[in-house]
Amino acid sequence: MERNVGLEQVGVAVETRTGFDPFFHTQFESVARAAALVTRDAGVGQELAQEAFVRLLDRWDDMASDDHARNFVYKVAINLARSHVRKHARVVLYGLHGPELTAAASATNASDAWLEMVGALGALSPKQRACVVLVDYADMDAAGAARVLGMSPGTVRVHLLRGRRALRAGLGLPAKEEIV
Amino acid sequence: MSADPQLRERLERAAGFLQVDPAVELDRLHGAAHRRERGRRLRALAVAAVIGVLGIVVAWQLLPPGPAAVPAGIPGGRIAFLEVDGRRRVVVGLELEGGDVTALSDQDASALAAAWSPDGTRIATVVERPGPVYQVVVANADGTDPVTIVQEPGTGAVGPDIIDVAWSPDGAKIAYAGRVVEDGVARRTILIEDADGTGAPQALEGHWESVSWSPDGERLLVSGFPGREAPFDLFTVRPDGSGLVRLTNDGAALHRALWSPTGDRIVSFSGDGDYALDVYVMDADGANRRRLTSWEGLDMFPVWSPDGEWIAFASDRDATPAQQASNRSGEGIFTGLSMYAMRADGSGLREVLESDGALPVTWTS
Repeated sequence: MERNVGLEQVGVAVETRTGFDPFFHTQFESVARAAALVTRDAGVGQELAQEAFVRLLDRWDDMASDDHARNFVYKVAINLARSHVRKHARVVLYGLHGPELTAAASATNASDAWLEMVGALGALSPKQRACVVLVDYADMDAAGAARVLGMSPGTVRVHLLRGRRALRAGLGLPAKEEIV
Repeated sequence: MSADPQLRERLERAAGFLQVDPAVELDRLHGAAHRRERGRRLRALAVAAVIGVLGIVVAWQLLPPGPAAVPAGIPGGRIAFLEVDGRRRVVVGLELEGGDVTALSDQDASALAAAWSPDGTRIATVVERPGPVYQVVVANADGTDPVTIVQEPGTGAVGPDIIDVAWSPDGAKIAYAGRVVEDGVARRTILIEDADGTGAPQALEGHWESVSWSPDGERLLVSGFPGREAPFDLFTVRPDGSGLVRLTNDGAALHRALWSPTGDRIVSFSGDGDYALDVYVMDADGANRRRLTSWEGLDMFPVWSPDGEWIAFASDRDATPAQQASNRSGEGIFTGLSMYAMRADGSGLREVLESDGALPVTWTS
């Protein structure tokens, strides 16, 4: 029986682009979760993902492929998440709110795993969090994460190295030294 | 670079609690997009009317544009920097073309300084180990095959005992800022050792905290003071300790002064007596000192590019307000320090590496 070999199997990248609605159905939840991890707030993550997809809809005709669209929507969502964290840090700095406000606000009905992760992610800077989430959660490589974050791959690797170190420590995982 | 499987599993498990209904979210999105589009059209009409009027006025007044000031790209090569992570520091090599980073010092030790050999094939690092014990380690440029050429037990004096290192231009000698104990008193000074660790180190007279070897190998540039008391100034001296020449005489406390690769200039950094630190350049004889940076926070640890045209340095100018406030308080470790580069005249500033703690210490081609 002859085997049907697609272009992917012979190493040729195939660029496809689905419609916006199907794309939204497959990607929204993971983008919202990634933004939630960076902000350590599930509600905020969902709102930021909404905003990112609204902006994507505006630019949908410019998207050459699903990969292009995915990079775009992650770029918007993660950068919004980093801005949110920075603004929140400023609020804490000026004494307008106590620390850990957003993490506490999202704790209702949260799972133990989420609460543990939120606590551990608190030891990472926003940049480190973004790098860890994009590489270890959203399955991007350093170059992809660098494009999303507007950093050099070297910068991503440095943040990733530190972020992983801190996150493993926060989760009680054994240290894993590596050269990235 | 692949994902860390353990972290991936934990992140997925944690994020799994956030459940969304895509259909509901999609309805919400289309509603929001529709409202936004309507508002945008109204705003566009108003803005177009205003721009039409302003455009005529502005176009009338504008001169023809001159040539754009586009700074040339920084040269390539490798910068080694101290990656500051809390109280631990690791020497990391950054390939400027491609962005690859490699840890160059032992991650069980805390690094204090580093210098590429003149031919770029080796790197000397200063590390502190528990005890404390201070070492000067020479390794291949990728950090492999480390050889300890200096090992000193801590003297018990305040601060680390070895804080700077420099190669002679022929690669045969290494000078380092260490301490000698005389009559029970520890004195910080420059010691010179064979690069292979043989022989006994020779110590200079005076109190010196940083060292840079002139490109012709004839003199050392040192910061500190020749007697037992400050003020803290820049001097040059022959490696045998003779021929001391004062370069500055105002106690400006210029730290980590480095000779340019062409030998005609010196770069350093100094404080304003309060909080700010800035980068300074002067002629090799100490004249014509000018400040290159004027950020109100930290600009520190300048290093020359191999061609002497650029200077890389660390700054907290783009750190978060919390990090800047922490730095300003003077309590704890400096944080939020990214790496930047500028031309040797202070123009063309650009970010090289975004980081929470990257102190450049040596740059090779």
